[in-house]
Amino acid sequence: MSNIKVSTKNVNVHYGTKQALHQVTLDINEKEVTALIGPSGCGKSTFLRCINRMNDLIDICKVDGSITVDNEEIISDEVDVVSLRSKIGMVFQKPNPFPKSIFDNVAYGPTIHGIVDTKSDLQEIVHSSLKRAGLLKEVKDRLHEPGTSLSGGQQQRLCIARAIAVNPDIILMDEPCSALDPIATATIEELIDELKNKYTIVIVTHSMQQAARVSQRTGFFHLGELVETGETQKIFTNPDNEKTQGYITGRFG
Amino acid sequence: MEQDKHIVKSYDDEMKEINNNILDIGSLVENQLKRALNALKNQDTALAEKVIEDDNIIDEKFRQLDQNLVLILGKRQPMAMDLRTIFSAIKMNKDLERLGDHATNIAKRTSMIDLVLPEKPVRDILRMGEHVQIMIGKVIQSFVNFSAEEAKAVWNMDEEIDDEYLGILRQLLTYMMEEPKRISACTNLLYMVKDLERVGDYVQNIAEDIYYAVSGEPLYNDTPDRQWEVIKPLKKK
Ligand SMILES: Nc1ncnc2c1ncn2[C@@H]1O[C@H](COP(=O)(O)OP(=O)(O)OP(=O)(O)O)[C@@H](O)[C@H]1O
Ligand SMILES: [Mg+2]
Repeated sequence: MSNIKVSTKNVNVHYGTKQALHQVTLDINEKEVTALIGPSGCGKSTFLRCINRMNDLIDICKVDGSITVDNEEIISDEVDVVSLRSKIGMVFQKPNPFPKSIFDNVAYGPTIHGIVDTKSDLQEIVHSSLKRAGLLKEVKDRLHEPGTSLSGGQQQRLCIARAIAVNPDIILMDEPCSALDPIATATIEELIDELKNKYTIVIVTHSMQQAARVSQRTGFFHLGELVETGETQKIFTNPDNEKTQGYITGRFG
Repeated sequence: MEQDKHIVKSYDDEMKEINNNILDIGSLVENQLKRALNALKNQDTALAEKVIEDDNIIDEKFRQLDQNLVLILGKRQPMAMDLRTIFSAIKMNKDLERLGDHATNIAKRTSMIDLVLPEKPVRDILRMGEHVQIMIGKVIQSFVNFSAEEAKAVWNMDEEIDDEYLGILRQLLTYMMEEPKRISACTNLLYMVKDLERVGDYVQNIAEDIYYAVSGEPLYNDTPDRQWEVIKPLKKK
């Protein structure tokens, strides 16, 4: 049996007066990949941002309900948000490298979290992170060029390398492959497969096929509600809910 | 199929086309069996030859549909009910093609036999043939209606077919033992009745495919193969 790594109960999110999530209750198993699918604007990114308290950065955003990570409540003023975020890596919908060199983008996390002592350790982490993100080959001769000089797909892999460099427990990925070609996508999927042995992964994706390939469990969101969750295999062969079926077969958007 | 439409209209068109192709092949196969049995009934060699010839039409349609199914898999990467429908269609297509082969076999035997056939078993085979044809008609209907219940009802019909098969098998074995002169004619009939029994099995497979496509649940065949009940006691003697 898998342990529950993240558990949400009756989570509501408002942006000002507009409610973006309604009573979302979901358990996320440790060392598994959970995929979140649903039409644009249904609240997937909002939900993901609840888990690492990123919504705090949006003034008008109010989150209520309960979310535990390793059985500890994180929706509370007493929570040390910095330490929470250090164990949760995030990869965003749009690649967002820092305006620094490729090397520094990856080195940033391990440095500020004091993960490394020596320069060669840091070098080692940067190299292995880039390698695992499937980017090393392409950038090994230009590590000191700016991260923004890379192509969109390369930037996304750089962001993945940055996220895994701090060795987090949980990795949140918001459509990590939306800008990638099939080969780069396959590389990321292969990486996700490998990462799930050590990490808990939550991935938002617009591709049901991708959810089917990489995840063990899938949740389907619609209009801010979590309509159906279950084993991925069941969801893509025989979902219980008609809305889920309609969405994944391309019958409504 | 009672389903909302896809956003992409051409996807709907392709699914409809596949449905139509299955129905097309289904009714061709149904007709082949009907004509093969008529040929047997009337000892009509010319009709039997026609049935044998027309098997090519089914084979060609099978190949075309098989290709279309691969294309739609690659192009649409179907999910949920669509995925189950395509997966089932691949199997149904193959089963229908095999079913057609068995109808052809019956026609081949008919065109070969120039012996006087014993009346009673022929009558029984023709009756069994009628029942098998009803099964085929109903399985096609359950596909048209996309009905799991109807498919399951057809699935259950196979047991009676197996009973009839065993009855005729016993009968033929008795005829042969009593009158060795008849062995040649009866052997031909024996092959035919076996073909019919196989047709029943294929229809049962098709019913399983439809049931799965509609409900998402498997319908397994775990009934034992009972033909050995008839053959085993004979060996001991
Ligand atoms: N910063 C914000 N301020 C106000 N409203 C927001 C904000 N972020 C999201 N929303 C609203 O919340 C709802 C959910 O948005 P969210 O970004 O979570 O959707 P999503 O499922 O990730 O969509 P997509 O697939 O397009 O990324 C939408 O109606 C959106 O307009
Ligand atoms: Mg989003």
